[in-house]
Formats: sequence, C-alpha cells, structure tokens
Amino acid sequence: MDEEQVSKEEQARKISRELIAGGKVDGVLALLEIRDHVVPHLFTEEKELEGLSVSGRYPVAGVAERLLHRWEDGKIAVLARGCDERHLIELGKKKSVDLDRIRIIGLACTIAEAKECHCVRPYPTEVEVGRSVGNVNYRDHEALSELINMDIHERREFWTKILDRCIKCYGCRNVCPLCNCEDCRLEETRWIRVGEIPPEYPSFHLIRAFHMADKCVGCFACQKACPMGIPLARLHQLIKEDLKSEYGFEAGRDVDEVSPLLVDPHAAAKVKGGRG
Amino acid sequence: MNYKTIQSTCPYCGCGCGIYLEIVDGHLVGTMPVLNHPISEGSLCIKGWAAHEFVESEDRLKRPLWMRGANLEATDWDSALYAVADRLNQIKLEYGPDAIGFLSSAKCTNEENYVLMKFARGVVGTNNIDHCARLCHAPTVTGLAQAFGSGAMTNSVPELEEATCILVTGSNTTENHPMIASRIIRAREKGAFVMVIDPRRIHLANHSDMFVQPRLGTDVAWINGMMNMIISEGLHDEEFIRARTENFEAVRETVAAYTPERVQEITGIEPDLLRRAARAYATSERSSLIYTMGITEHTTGTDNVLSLANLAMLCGQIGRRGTGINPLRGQNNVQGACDMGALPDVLTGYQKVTDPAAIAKFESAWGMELPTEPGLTVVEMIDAAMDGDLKALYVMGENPMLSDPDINHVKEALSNLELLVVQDIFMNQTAELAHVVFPAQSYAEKAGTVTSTDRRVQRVRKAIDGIGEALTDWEIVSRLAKIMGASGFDYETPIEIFEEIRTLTPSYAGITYVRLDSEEVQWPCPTEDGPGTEYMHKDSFTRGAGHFTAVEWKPPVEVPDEDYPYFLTTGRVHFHYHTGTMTRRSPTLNREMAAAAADINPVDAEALGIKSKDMMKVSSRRGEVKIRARLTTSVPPGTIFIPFNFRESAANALTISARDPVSKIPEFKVCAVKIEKAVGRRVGV
Repeated sequence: MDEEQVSKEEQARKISRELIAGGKVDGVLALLEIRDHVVPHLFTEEKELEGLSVSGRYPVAGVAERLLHRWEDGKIAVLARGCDERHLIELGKKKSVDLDRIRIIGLACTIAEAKECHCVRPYPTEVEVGRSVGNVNYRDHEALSELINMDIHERREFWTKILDRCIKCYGCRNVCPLCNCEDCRLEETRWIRVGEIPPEYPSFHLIRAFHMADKCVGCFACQKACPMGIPLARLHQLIKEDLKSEYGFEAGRDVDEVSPLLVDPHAAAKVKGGRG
Repeated sequence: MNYKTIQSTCPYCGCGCGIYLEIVDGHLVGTMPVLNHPISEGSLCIKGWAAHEFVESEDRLKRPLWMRGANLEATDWDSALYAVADRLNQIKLEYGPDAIGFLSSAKCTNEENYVLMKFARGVVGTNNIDHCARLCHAPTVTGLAQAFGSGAMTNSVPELEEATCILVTGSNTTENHPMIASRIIRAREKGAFVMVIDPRRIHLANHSDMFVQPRLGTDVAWINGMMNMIISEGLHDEEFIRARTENFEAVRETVAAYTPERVQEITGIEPDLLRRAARAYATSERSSLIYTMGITEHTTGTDNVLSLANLAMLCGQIGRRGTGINPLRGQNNVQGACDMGALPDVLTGYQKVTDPAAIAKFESAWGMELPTEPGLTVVEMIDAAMDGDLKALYVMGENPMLSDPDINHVKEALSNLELLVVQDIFMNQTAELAHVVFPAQSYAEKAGTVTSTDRRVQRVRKAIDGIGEALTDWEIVSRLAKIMGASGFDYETPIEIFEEIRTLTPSYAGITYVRLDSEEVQWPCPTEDGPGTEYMHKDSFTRGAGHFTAVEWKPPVEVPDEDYPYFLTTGRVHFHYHTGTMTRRSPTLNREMAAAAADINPVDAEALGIKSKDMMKVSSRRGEVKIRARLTTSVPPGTIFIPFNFRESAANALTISARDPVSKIPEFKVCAVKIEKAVGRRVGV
C-alpha cells in the first residue's frame, strides 16, 4: 500500500477512535477489510479499528439507514466517500434517515479510484481523510458517446440485446441504497411479468432507470453488482446529465435541493438550491 | 447496537458463491455478495440475495417429533434419540444391518456427510448409503471415472472465461448456475464461440453463436455424429490420442456408422449445422464442454457422459487451462457429499469398499469392522422397502417424496417401512410419513465446509444460534452413535471431524481450516504446502491413460405412442430450488413464482384447445397432475416441460423410475404423457 493510503488509514482510525472513545457515537460504520475484500461493518470498539479499510468500495448508506431505523436513539458515524455522502443526503431528502444522527467522516477518493468509477465528484462536502483530487471529470466519454452516436434503431438493438442477458437477480436494486421503496414497482405484476427470465424488455430496466432518474448519484455499484455485465451506469449517467443540463439538478448535493421531477417542469429550472 | 456480518457460502446451487449474512441483534436481516470472491466476484443471483430469508421461517422444526397413534407429536431429544437407537438395534438384530438404509444430504456440510457415512458403515454396518447425487450426476461419477479416473469438473469456474469455444449441452445455465452463465457470457465477449445444444430453446441460446435443437434422448447419436465428422475431416488430435489415451480404435469403428444422414434421422439435426459445431469444437484453441442433467438423467446417462469424454479426448480438448469437461454440480455440497463417501460403493475420496487396503485403513482408524459389499442406491433402497427387504430408512436432509421418480411408488414403499427417521430443517412430504423427526440446524446456524462444483472447498460459518432445539446434523448423528455404544463420535467441533477426514482422504490431505480461513482450496490437494488443483488431468489422467469407450445410441425407455402422445421432460426453474422447502418459504422467491407452470408449445396448446394459464391435466402411466399452462416456443411441438419444484403439481408423479444400468440414475428427462384441458375455470395470475 502506498504512503498516501497508509496515512489515510491512520487519519480514519484516529478520528474513529476519538469518536468511539468519546462516546459521541454508538459506532462507526465503515468497511472492514477481510483478506482481499471489504464488507460493511459497525466498529464499536477501538481495538477493531485495525481492520478499517480506506481503499475498499461498497455502498454503506443503506446499512446506515437500516441501523438508524432499528435503534431510534442511535447515533453513528459513517466513513463516507463522495458517493456515500450523496446517498445519505438523498436518504435524508426522503426522510428515510435522520441526518442529525449521522456524523459523516469525509473520505476523498484517489485519482485511480475516481477513474475506475468514472466519477465526476470523487469527494464529499468536507474532506477529513485524504485529499480531494479537486474538480475532475472521469465520465466514460468513449462509451457514452458511442451510445449517443447510435441512431435510434442501433440503440434499440444494443439495449434489447444486452438487457436480454438479465437474470432478474435484483442485484442492481439490492445494492443501491436509494432504490429502496417499500413497494417496489419492479415487483408489481401489473408492470412486470413474474417468474420469467429475462424480464420483459424494456419495462423492467426502464422503470428502474426512471425511478432512479433524480436519485442516482453515479456510484456505479449497480453495474459492479450485475452478474451479466449489463452497463447499467450508462443508462443512469445519460439521464443524470440531462437533468443537470436542463434543470441544473444534481442528486445528493444538498438536502434542500428539490428534484425537478417533483415540481412544475416550467418552474423547475429556477428551483435549483431552493425549495420549490 | 449489534450489527455484524458473517462470511459464508451460498446454500443453494453448486456454483459456491460467497455471501455475507447480515445479523442484527442475533437475527438475519440480509445477504450481501462477497466482493472479489473467486466465483461470484461481488454478484449473486436472486436466490443468493435471498439466502437469509427462509432461515428464521415460522415453519422451522423446533423440537423432535415422534409418532404417537397416527400423529407426530413433540418430544424431547433423549426420548426421540433412545427410541431410534432401540429400533435400529432391534432391526439390525432381527434382519441384519443391510435391512437399514441411509440417505445422506448434498445440503449438509462435508463433516456431516462424513459422520453419517461413518455411522452407517461403522455403527450399523451397512453400505446402504446414498444421496441425491444418484438423481443428478451419478453417470458423471461413473462415466468420467471410467474415462479419466475421476468424476469431477475438470476445470475451474474462473477458467471458463479463458475458453475460446464453449459447448453447453443439457444445462440451462442462466437459470440453474447463474454465476457460471456469467462466465460464459464474458468468455463470449472476449471472442469465444458459444454453442448451445439442447432440446429446449433456453435463455442462453439467445447469447450463443449457434443453437442446435436435437430431439429428446438422442445425445449419443449427435455426439457420435460429431466425432464421425471430425474424424472424416481429419480434425482429431492424433498426437493426443496416441500419447494419452487407449482404445480409440473401438470408437473409430463405432462412430463410422453414425453418418450425417443417419444422425439427422435420429436427432433431427441438419448435417451442416452439426458439421459447423463439430469443426468449431475440434479446431478451437481451448474448447470447454459444459453439461448437467440434460445429459445425465437418462437410462443412457453413463453412455452420454462417456460420449462427451470420447469427444474431448478425440480433439485433445482436455488437460489444459480453459479446456475440459465440466459437469456443473447441482447442490451446494453435492460434490462434497460424494467426496465424503455418502455413496454405496466408496469411502471418502472415492476409495472403494471393495479395496481391501482402503477398508483396512478405515477399520484401523475407526476401530470398527466395515462391510465390503457395495450397498444399495437411492432408487434401489425404495424398491427394497417396497419388497420388504429394507426395514428402516434414515433420511438426513433429503425429500425423496418429491425428488425421486414415480412418487406414488415412493410413498407406498416408505409406508412399508418399520422405521422411517427424518432429520430436516422443515417438515416436508417425506417427514410427514416418518416415525421420528429430528429438527436440524440450517447452514446459517452452524460451521463446516462445503465443496462446490469446481472441487472448491469453502467454509460455512455460524451466523446465528440454532432455532428452537434444533441441533446440527453431525451432533444428532454423533449423539445417536454414542447412545448405540459406539466410540469415535466424541466430536466437539467440526474442525475435529475435518481433521479426521483429511487424514483418511489423500485428495483432502492438504486442506485445513486454517488454510480455508484465507483461501478456498480445490482438491486434489495432497499436501499442506502445495496448492490445490485448478484443472485436472494435466500431464496424465488420474487413471493413467484416458479410456475411450465405444457407445451405441439407444432410444429412451418410454417414447410417445397413441395413448400417451407427448414427450414430458422435467427440470428446475430459476426462482426455486429443488423440492422448494427453502425457496417457497422465501418471500422474494415465492413472489416471483408461487405456483408451477408447464411449458407447452403454442402449436400443441392450440390443438388441445388450451390457452395461456388454463389448467391442464397431464397424465402418464404412473400418475397425473394438474398444472397451469405456459405457452412458449422454448419447447418444441410434441414436448412439454414441468419443473419438479412444486409439491402440488409434482412432476415426479409422472416420471418413470427406469434407470441407467450402470449408474442407476432414473430417466427423469424423458417419458410419455397425455395432456387434457382440465375442467374448471382458468386460474388468475
């Protein structure tokens, strides 16, 4: 591990240790390193912090939500990358988590990490661990322009073919902290036939894409979880970019920023940063 | 706050995916994929994601039950165990040890299979032990052992990605081994030529370069046909045949008669199509064969497997990275249950009961006298119960009342027993007939090891405490053994059992729990400092020379006629697992598919006046079931498909128990049925 990562680990452990020792939180939610991978873990004792990872990636906001639901008076710290923080902010908007009960420990991604996730904002609002790489844009230009440059028939064929691989594992939904409606539309027989793979084209994936349109923060977890190599992030990325260019909206930026999909579309352009 | 995650191995299919169970205050709340896992790499299928859901079901068996009058009533462990011990002793005394049979479990750990195997052979003194591998890959075990000396998947799952040509036959891979299908898709993205040869147009066919649809039960014919073409075009690997194999001439002579025209007549395959497949397989740099039950579950199951082995050896497509023969094992631990000797003719690691040296080794290690005649297989035990020769059957984690062929016959046979003991996590159709039922712990409540399809030994870890009074299967059997006065069952932990296993099993000798904490190890692994084996038969086959066996095509035992004009083929569906005891109690999975449906071609449906979702009555010479129709062109006209997962529309009420003479596997894949529209209203979704 390089020096930067070592010092990040030390920073993260130090802050976590202080928070746990000071009794300010019930635990620190972060990734625990096991062999060559990581898993979400609630660190409640100082001695456990040896295993805390700053290099692994897996969305933890959904776990935070479940923990805070379960323990109504609980307070936790979350070691959060930019995407984790954006997840938490979106959950805050939905009133699904109480952000006052979360102490975010901001973790900046390295350039290599940001590139791997095609990230356009690889840092949280306030960085406490590591150094922000600043304004970068590692958007997957090549793949996205290939898609945009297709005519409608080519594009339909591309998606028809690749979405036909789907085995309906729901991994894209399950791994996403924001795709968590109590009554999932993907499970409604009115929209999607049950008991068959692949799920019918295009409703399954388009319903999900539309539902995530104003929520997706671009963490790439869905694409990584897909066993069939479906490039789901491309679908989400293009919709996200439209919302940004048309309405100036970006999911996960500010808990008070209202989705343009929830207000009068003509007024939407003006609601940036304020309540509609 | 008490939140933790425990790494384990998925309890469903043989892929062996890595899962994390999420535990809050001692209860399971979720499943997550293990990132970087060699098999699943951070993904899971729908069953894997739902692996926690059935564990704490209200329906779990929580106390021992015994038959009082006509009912099963709750009792305590000692009463139930002593009662079973007494009855087993009596039956053994009166009728001899071979009047007792054991069904072990491909859902249980290696340690548990080993302990039951030791109990059956050492304490009771019978080789009557078998398990559901008989109903899935018995022909693989016998066929590949005959050809190569070892009946396991030759390559590793990750290696499939390196294949340049993949021939998938009789495997609905995306539905039944999803994480292996993912490798096939990736191999194809890297340029591999993927062929699907299957009587049904399965999902994977959409993602292949070639789909070939032979008639049911004609596998030997098309494989011989391919070999005929390869030899006549000189595409076979003469150097490999000369250096590594024996008996090739016999095969050359036999396949000479399988001309393209004759093969087309039997199989319905266009010669040009088959030729393209033959050329692709023979000439590609690294060709891999993948197969499952579509090859094995026939009266010619062993012949089918031998034919695939012939094909691989003919082209030298085995013994290198990314090329070989890959039978995908069904259950999470069916490979392990076989490895542990839960089979009537072998001890652990396939050491034969007829081999005096092997028997002597086990007798001295266990301090017991052991039987040396091979015992009865699953279906033979049922027949013996019917005939009154088998008096007691001890079933650990199996449900023959739904998984075996011709279940009306099974029910009659089981009802004939003087003692039926069932050890399970849920009440099931078999347990309903039992005299004593022991509640067992599920995978999430215990520790141990399982061996997944590519010979990969992996850990299962305890995530929550046992439900109710349930005990692990190894504890139950060990307690019973001790009550029956046996020594050698004083195990405190599964580690002690595993240590005993590896000292007696050369292929497992180098595997330890300590190693398994930091890696998954593939057998054969003879030494602790040596690596496991990624792909087998590298420089020579396990048996020395690879053995060609000439095989003639034989038709299925029962084919359509005037009275029963349709083919029935059976199998599994993506959203359920086997007899459904776990998946149907899992809300996510049950929501996807709450009831069975039979696949029928629209042409047949129209001729019969059947519309989508109509109820049909499907009958064979053995029984009948009512089942909803699903119109689909995935089955050809003249053939219907019924999944065997559903008790209320049990496919195995229809299937035939005719079996392969060598491996004793029943012909689940082919029988003849008639179809009628059932009287009554259409059933809603």
